[in-house]
Amino acid sequence: METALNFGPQHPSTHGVLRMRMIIDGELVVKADPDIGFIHRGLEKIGENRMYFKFTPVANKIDYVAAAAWEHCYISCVEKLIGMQVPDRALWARMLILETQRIISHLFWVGTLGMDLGQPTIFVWAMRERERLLDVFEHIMGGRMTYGWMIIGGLRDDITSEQITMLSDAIAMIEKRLPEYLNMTEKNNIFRERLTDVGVITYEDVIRYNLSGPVARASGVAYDVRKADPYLFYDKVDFSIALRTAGDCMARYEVRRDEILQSISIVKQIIPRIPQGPYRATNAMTLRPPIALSMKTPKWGEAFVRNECPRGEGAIYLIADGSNFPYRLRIRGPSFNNMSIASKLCEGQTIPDVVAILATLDPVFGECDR
Amino acid sequence: MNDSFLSSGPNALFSVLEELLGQAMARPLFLILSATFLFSVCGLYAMFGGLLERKIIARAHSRYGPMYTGPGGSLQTLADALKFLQKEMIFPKGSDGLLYRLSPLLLVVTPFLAVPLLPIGSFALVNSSYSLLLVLALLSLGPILILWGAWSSNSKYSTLGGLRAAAMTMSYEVLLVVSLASIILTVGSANILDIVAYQSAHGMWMAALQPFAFVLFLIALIASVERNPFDLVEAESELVSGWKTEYGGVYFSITLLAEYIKLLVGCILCASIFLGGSGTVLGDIGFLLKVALLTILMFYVRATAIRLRLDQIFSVVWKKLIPLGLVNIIVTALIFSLFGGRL
Repeated sequence: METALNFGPQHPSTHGVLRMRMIIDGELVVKADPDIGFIHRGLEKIGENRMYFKFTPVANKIDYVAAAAWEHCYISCVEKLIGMQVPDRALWARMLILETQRIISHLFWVGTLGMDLGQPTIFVWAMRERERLLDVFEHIMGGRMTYGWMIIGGLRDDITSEQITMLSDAIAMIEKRLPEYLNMTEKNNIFRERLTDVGVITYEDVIRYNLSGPVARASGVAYDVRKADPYLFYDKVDFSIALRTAGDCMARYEVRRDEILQSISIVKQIIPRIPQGPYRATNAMTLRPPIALSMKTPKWGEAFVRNECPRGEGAIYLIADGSNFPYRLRIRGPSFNNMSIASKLCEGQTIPDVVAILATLDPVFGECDR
Repeated sequence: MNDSFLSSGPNALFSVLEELLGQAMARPLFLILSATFLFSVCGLYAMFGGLLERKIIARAHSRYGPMYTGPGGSLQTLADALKFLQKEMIFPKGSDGLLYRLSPLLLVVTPFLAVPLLPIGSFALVNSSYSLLLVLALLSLGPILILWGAWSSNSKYSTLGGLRAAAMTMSYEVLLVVSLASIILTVGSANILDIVAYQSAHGMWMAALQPFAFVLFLIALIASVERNPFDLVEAESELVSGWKTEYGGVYFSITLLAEYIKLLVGCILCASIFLGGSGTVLGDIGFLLKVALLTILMFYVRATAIRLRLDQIFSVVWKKLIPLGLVNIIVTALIFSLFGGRL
């Protein structure tokens, strides 16, 4: 007997505010239709109605699990728009933060995946390690979830050697504890059986649905913005694209696990290479009023910047018309595109598989709904 | 086999009462005293078992668990029970009033009924040659009552949970019977007291004589008390709270109580049948230790296992475990027929 089932938005397994309209036949999902937009905040319009530097705190809230990634995406887009030269020290420090943010985001994801598969222990462990990194972030950037640390032209505050030591300690601790997670997850037969051959995305589907990030790389698409269109100094550090070809939930798990390991290695490479020098350009726009008032407004022009956010390719496109406000701000969020295949993947699966599929797509609805 | 409602032999309390008060007075008094004893065993187990579970799982999570209610959080379960009592009772629109109220009550009554059939250490109230079968029958009533409660709640999540409970019986009930059948073959009796006596007479635990049956029984036991990795009846990440989604307040606390008493019945059953009961090491204290260790084992499994899918449970149970159990029965029977008589 077919019956309709509302899965969310107040459901423990739909991350954030996703609502799945499902037609179920017993345990089998006949039809699944994701209903998004519950936290649509009109972020693009908000950006078009305030001065350039005032959008930074809002950019943090695009994806609240990986706020620094979007902060950098927006800031670097404005810098490109007004052609500002940023000192090397600031760029290296930003890269350090971005990779740490990727570890934080993927740890959070491992935790919620464990929760969805019915084991809260993994979640609590992941939160425990994430907490250490958030403590470091609080020292460096003054915030745990949203930061406002990058400013147009550099950094709000310099990063000290003491903070870098804290960060490398925390990274070393996580590296030491990772085998514990692997015992709970991939070395567990049930974990592997729950994820293997579930929700298979083919190479063609990745292209057709315009998927990106770990979801695409798990299906054999070797596309990583850090390699394809290097920004910051990603061409100067040594790392490879985490790639799997199976395209199922297990492959998506493995890609993200490899990315955690690679981010750890990138952070280790960055730490000795942060140069001395100024941490912001002399004409940087800070948030402090006297300088902010004298801010330089961009002339007519446009800029497009894409970054490899933890969830995939995030991009920001700005058009300036010479006024204090951007003429157009466009956000391209990977979660939105990645969610588009959810309906196809969930059809014909059982309810526990739907939960696993949604978890491995890793949508964050702040960024999906915008 | 001598069936009697009161076990006359091993019960020292009854003989003392009989000497003091005579047969007519001793029987009712003994029944009242034993009932009180069994109730307090169940109550204490539910109270401190619940606390222990939260503490152990908290340690696995590197947390502390309850800390502030009573010394070291020891009164937390009591505080929770009081809170549940104060809650407003909500009956969902369109629910079947009678079944909805009745199913958690019966759910707690059935494992309670199984408790007197089991030997609590050396204290045994009922000496019946069918006690093992009766306990199994009472345990297998659980899923049916869950289905009642789920169906009468008029909620789709509840119904799915109830259907899962009904489907699960197809797997672990069979496993439970298959694993115990080889024990009954070995001992030649379905009386739990006989099985305990057999182990003390041979000085060997049934877990050593029938290791496969022991493993199968443990798996089936975890499934029958609906804990991880077989907790898909109330899978919170899939079905909100499964069959008890709509239950709140007192009814919810009753379902929790039922869960712990079921766990107690399972652990006592396992300790008596496979680990020698009170007959071998350390007597009654040894029995308590065995029950406690089995309980802690259940909690550890809950802290580490990932939930299985229904079809995975079926394929594991029907393709691997039940054939293993059947082979075990056949081998047991062959050994007996070849060597004649019992071990």
